[in-house]
Amino acid sequence: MQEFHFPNWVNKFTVLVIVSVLFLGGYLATVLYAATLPSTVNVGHRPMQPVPYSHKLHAGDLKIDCRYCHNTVEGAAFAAIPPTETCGNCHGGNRVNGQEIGDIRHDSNLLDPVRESLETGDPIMWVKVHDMPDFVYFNHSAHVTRGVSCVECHGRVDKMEVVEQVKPMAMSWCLDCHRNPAEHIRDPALVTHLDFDPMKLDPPMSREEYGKMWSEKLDIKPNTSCSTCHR
Amino acid sequence: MIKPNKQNAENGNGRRYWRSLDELHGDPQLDAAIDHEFAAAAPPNGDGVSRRRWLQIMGASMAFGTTLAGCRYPAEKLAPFAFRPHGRTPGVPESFSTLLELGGVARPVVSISYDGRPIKLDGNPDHPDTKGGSDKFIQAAILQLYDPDRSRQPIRKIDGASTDSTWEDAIDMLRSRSGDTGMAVLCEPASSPTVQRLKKKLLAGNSATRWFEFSSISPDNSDAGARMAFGDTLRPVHELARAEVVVCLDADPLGVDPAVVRNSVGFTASRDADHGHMSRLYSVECNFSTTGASADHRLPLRFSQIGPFLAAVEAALDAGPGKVDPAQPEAERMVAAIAGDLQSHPGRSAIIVGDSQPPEVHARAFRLNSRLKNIGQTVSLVKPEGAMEKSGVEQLKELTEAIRSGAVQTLVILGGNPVFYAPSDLGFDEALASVTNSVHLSLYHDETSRKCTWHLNAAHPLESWGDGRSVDGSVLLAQPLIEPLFHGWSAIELLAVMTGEAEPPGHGHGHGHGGDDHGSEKKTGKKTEHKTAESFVHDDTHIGMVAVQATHHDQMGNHSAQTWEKGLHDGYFEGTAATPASPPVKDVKLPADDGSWRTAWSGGEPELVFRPSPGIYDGRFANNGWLQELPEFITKLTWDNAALVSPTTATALNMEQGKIADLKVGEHTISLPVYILPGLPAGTICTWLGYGREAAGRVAGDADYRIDSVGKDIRPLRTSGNWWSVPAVSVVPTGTSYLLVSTQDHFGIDAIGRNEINQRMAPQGDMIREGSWASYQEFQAAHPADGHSDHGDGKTAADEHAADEHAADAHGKDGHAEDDHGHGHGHAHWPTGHHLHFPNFDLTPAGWTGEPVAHKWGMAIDLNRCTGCNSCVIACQAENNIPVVGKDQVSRGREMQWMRIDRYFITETDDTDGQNPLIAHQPVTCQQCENAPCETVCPVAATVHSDEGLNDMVYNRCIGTRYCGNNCPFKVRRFNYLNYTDSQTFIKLPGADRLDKANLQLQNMMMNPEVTIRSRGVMEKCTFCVQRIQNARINARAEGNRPIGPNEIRTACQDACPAEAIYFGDIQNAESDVSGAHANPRAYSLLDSLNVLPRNRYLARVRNPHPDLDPHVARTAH
Repeated sequence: MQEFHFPNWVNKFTVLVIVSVLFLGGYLATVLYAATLPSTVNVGHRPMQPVPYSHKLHAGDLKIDCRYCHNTVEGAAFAAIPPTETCGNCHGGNRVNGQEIGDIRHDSNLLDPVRESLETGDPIMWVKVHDMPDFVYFNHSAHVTRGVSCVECHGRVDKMEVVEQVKPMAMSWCLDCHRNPAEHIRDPALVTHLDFDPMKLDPPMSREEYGKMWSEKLDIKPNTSCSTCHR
Repeated sequence: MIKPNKQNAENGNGRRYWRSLDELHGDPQLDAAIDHEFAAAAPPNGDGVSRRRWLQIMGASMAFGTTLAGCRYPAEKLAPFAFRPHGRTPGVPESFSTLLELGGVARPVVSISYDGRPIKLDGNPDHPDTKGGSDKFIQAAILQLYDPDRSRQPIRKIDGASTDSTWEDAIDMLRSRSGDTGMAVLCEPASSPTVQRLKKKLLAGNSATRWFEFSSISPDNSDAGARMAFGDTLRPVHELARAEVVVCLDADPLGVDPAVVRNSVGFTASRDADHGHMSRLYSVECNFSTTGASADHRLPLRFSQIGPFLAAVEAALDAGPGKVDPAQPEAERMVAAIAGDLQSHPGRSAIIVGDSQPPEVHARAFRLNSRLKNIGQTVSLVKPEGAMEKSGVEQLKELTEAIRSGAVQTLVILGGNPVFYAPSDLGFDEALASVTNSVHLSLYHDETSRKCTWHLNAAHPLESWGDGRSVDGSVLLAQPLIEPLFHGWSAIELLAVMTGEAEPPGHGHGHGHGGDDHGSEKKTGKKTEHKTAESFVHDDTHIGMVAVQATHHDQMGNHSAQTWEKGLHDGYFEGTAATPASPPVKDVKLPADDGSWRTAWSGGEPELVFRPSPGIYDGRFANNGWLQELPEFITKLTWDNAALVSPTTATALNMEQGKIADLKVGEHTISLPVYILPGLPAGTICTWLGYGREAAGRVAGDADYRIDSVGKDIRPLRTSGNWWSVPAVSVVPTGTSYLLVSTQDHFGIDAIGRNEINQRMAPQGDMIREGSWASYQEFQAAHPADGHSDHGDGKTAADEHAADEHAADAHGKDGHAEDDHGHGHGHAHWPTGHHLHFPNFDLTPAGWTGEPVAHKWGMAIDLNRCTGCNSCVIACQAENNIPVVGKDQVSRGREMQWMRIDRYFITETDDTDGQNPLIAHQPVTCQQCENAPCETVCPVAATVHSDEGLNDMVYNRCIGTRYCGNNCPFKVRRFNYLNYTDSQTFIKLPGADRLDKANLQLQNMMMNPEVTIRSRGVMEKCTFCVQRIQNARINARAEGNRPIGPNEIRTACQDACPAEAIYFGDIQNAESDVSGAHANPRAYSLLDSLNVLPRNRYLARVRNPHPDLDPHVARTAH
């Protein structure tokens, strides 16, 4: 029986096949790499919530301070999602403590989950937007009380109809700030002023100058040891 | 027959340190085993059976839920409260005081609750009983709370078939029966005033009701002894802080004892060598206890010889103690020394007798304590409220007879597990099965429940209201830390309903707890705040709370609301400690010294003694994986009991290590694996209670689900006549091998290293340093500045470290000769005999100046305080989410506990049998080396140094090469060979169909959310509780950037330690305890010669031998 040989015309494809395989491998690797980058996976994550709560309306137009709802942010690791009671202060009618304290949009079906939660005591199941891996220990109070504004990580939430993640929240991104914190630091009293701009101060200051001043004032020395965030 | 290992030859000072007989004698198998550092990187799951077994254990001990979605990790839901409880901040832990009872004594504890879930328990720092310390049982209670094997509903047996029932039916049944004439209650002796009150009420309501109390471990003999000596039931409370001479006779006050925390606090206070206090502890015992290991002199005697020995001491006191005659045998010298010491310390000595010794021995000890004026000084006598006159065994016998005679139609068993604990000759289980209506309230559907017609699921102590009396008689309060997970009831609630004091709550939810799963547990009793005393007592928020309040109503007086609030907050009512009695001693005839303690064992049938298991007590903690896997202090055995025998006994009776021996009394036989333990008296077999359970759960064994029992059942030989010891058993060695897993030889480095241990041990003091009190006093006199430099005063480590850097620099540059003190610190060290020829040097490049760091974290462990109680090991496990791996994995050297307690036997070089070794021990954590060998070998920088000197372990970076573990000279790194915390396997468990989805995640609730859960293939180790450091730092910075207090941060092991042997803090801060400890002349680093510069230092142990007694110890220091 005759031994099998590839016909000669195959030869001109050999190089092509090798090149294509290499290219394809490289392409797939690149795609995989790019697709799993935190900036790809996380930035733009914009889940729908059970109640279409508009931060733009409440925090932006109505100028409600972030801490009215996220009131544990200065004393705890978590900037807790407010209890339904907090929503009920304006939208609950008499469901919170029996007294009529405000029933804004009492005809809106969108607020049904709020009213239901107030009546049953069951929580509203919100969807987490900024979800750090479980091996990362981020502490809100450590940042907020030390002059890091909400806007540094969460962006202009006061302009978002639906909250989305705008920063990659990757380790290198955290470290960028931990290594050069100055331009992210401000007066701790102004951390919830998302539109704050030192150029509008009197006299105007550059962001660098202003941040440097405050980080000296606050003695900001961020730690970059692994155990700072990984325990 | 035993030949000394040549390589273990004399090391120069006539003493040898060794860890096991295999090591002492050079066992070839051990040599082979230690050639493999990671004992078995062998196939992980050799056979199906063992795999199934560890899955069971692991699943029951830890279960995790994971979900899997597409590319992005699954979206997490957030469920905020609809109404957040006042004062609650999500994610910020709160602490609440409550109590846990052991052996009829309430112990005050404080729980750390995280979002309404208790995750960690510690002793109550404000109460004199614990002063913040705790024991292993307190630490491990949290695992029991979340045990998925706890029973979930009442179970009724109809015609032999068990069916799930409801609480309503159970209560209806109980109430319909409560007027019956044939009613009996059996419970364990409880200190709770409310139980006592309800008992009286129950008996008053139905005079035909009979009440029995029985438990497997109780101070019955001591009570009987007190009645002989004083005519009244009085219990001794030992004030060891005041004692200068302590004589323990078969007693283990520092080991398994309800008062262990209080005793340890007192004992270590009496041995503060730095400040000139050093008591002397004698221990005469038939087993090898934790107390024996702490003793300055230990004499092994058989169980039956201990009474006569005490009689001989009394006789010597009568005759006027003479000098210790060195020509006499050891026992004679001990009698003379003890008598002499007792005579010269009136009112400053204490004689403690173990519960197992007969009443006569207790009576004699009371008489002697009284004669030596110790009563009211070192021994307080407290009258236990409501203690029964008859012993538990007698009461159980009466109950059994009553059942047999048909006098009992309804038997209510409140807690306990009498079927498992009962003396085997009573036939209690058969009698119980014949009761028409038997009810068992219990955490588990256990042996007793399965014999009863009704099983009622009990609330865990951490889920219920209650009260109790501590060792000193003060009233403690218990408050629920969480809603009963399975809607169980406490004994108090059940009694309140049975007596008609409370109406059972409406149907639907548990019983007035409500079915609220969102953490609105009533923890502070705040609802009662503004009520008057009357309405306050009638507050109907909770049956249990009302019952407890009613008990203390009179005592709380007019300010009940405030007193109650304060009591709940503090955990106890102030000023309620009992007034100690000091009655005269009656003239009682006690057996005279028959001289039997002098006679050595001459062969023949040995004695068998039963001891509470150092891990699982009497079996009630059997289903607790942490306690099962905890290496026992002396034997380092895990997951088993054994027949512990001395080498002499083993030789004489042909018993071989790890082989089953049958022990026979009459027609009853038990089969136990043999474990040869040096230091036991010849002619004694010692074994532990509580093993061999067949209805405990997935961890300890459950015959219904074909899960094998852990350990061997010894009950056939434990009869009412032989309750604590059997005078003679016949031993039949079978030759059948049995895998006994002991961790003592784990983490051997290699054969060279093993032999090197001896060299490093004593002459260089690289591992263990110790010396005599006399030599330390001499040293202190010669170095007055160092002599009393302790915590905070004198020179501190902060200064010293500055000096160190210069010294290190000098060594590095010119390598000049080392001075006598090893470190080249500017001051002297004790013991002085150690000469190090390896100057430490600094690896920092010349001329490099780093920024000054804010903190340098360091630890110190005082070996003179440590008693080896193992509390720290479990505390670490609870704090750091450390998994349980099971016997099979432990046998491969894969135990995961981050802390271990190294235990070395010390014998004279010419003593090849190790008949009566001393013990040196040392808790070992990660030493946080400054020149850490693990860091340099990690290829992915998963273990790196933090700028504050911590050796950080980054789990998410670790790829599992295990190079670091290989390179660690202390062997403190632990590798996750398997996914020990995986939930998927849990589903496959037998009986898993009984669990709903929420229950599968039950144990997630127990996890400390501050610590990452590690998965397979990841190395882990002690982090100095870095989560606590970080949180303290964050709080300090948030509070106006204040400095962290010198002793603000406490590690979990430090919190747990009842002896306060562990110090942690900033060694740069001159005010911190740890810098004081590092500057102590007793401080030394482990394996100093390796130049790894550990941040952890040990403080050398001081022994206080009788000057005429022991050449052993007197020789150590010089």
